[in-house]
Amino acid sequence: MRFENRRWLVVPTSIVDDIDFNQVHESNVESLRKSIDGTLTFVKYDVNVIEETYTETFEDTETGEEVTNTVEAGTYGRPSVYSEEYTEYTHSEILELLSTEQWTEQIEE
Amino acid sequence: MATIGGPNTEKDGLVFGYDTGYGVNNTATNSRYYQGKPTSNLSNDMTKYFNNWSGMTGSTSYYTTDRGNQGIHLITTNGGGVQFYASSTINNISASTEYTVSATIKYSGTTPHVNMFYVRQYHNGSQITEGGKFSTSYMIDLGGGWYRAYRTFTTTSTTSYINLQGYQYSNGVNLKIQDLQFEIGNQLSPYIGSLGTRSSTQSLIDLKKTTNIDVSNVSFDSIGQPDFDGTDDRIVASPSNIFLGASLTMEVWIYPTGYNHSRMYLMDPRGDGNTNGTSAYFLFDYHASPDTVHVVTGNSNIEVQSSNFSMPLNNWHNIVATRNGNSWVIYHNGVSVGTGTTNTTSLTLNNDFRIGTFASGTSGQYFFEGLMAVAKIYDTGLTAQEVKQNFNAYKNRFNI
Repeated sequence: MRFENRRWLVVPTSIVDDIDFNQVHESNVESLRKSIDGTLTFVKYDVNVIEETYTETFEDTETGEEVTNTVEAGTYGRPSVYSEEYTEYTHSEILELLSTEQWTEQIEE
Repeated sequence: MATIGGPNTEKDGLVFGYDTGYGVNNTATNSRYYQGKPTSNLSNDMTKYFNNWSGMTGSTSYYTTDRGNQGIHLITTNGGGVQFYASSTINNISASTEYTVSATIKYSGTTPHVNMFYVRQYHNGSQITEGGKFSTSYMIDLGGGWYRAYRTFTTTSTTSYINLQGYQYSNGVNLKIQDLQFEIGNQLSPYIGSLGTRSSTQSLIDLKKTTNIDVSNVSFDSIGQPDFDGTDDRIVASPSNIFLGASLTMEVWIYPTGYNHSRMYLMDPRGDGNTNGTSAYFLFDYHASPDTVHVVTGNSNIEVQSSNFSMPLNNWHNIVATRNGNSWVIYHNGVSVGTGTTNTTSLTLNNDFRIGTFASGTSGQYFFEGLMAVAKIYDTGLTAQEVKQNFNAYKNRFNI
């Protein structure tokens, strides 16, 4: 599956000033794609999904001491604008959404 | 007499173009028109050490690379252990973020230990994790015994700084390492220099070297090729006074991976600053089910349409549209698949030439999904023979 670790977050255009463009793939406000009526836009970013909490152990090369580190389960890499209030999509899901009349003008064939 | 220096492609009349080098086994990025995806190298040059223990003997020395920077040559002559290089501490690391570490290496004798390069992450003065270790499973063959080795590394939720270091533990190691790079993301990109940055307009170079090409709004695949995700990815060029009139050619090499719309646009020269931006244009797009390629020109939206032909997904295709006077010919893989006529619309490109989308307003629609390794525009209408010649020159790169 292409872009397996990428997510798309659809947000109202009214909050674009809250987007930190260092945290998403889009480069600035002007680069954002908007819905046909201009009320929605989206940002995309790559996430790292840890399904289960795990602990790793390794030997510090310099001291020879054993070091343990615990990585908590979760989804990492979401931008600060992320909120459960907004819908997050996978690649196939966002393509399906963007093909609707809400996002793409239907051109007569 | 045979010539040396590249494929025999038509260059007369070329006014704009890019070529990502897909399929070219040539890593001399300095001389290529694609320098790699935009990135910043957070690492500086390595400092050599020979901090040995447990009887390890040997030496480290500096050498000058082809780029003129500094590499490190390690030779071990007895077993034990040694730290043989380190980079300066990298601060301002983001937590829970994926990075890629890479280096160019050449070795003989003993295969290097996984600690040839690796990332050590610290917080509050203590090492809290390590990773990104060398593996022969993650190397790109550069030829001549050289490899670009790379690994990804994800920082933990707490971090202060990172060190990149190299250790070896065996006798008989003869290893050269250079061009250490540490960059954000999970994709390897060509070395950009110590603490260097490759901007979005320094990545893809116009074949005529006259037009800026901005890749800030396109994705990149695992080998650094521009990869249009079909949602909002596009390449935007900023040509200056390129006149397209009664003779022109548009050409692309594409690898479509999905049809997220019934049509997807390959080129759309309309946009801010282009003369007659809404009334005169040449749209270049293809439709799925059945596969057809279309050229839409302004002044009543006259459309030239190819006949139906097979253009399966996940395969490379060469698509060309030529115009000579009012006559258009559309080609697929060097073979004519349609003809048509239009009026005498012309267009002068001055800005905002979009590749991979339909330039409707500032948002764009009908985004292309897949790879587009080559895009070219000529201000002449190539002949069928020239189109075939170009196709033959490129087809081996795309396994056709």
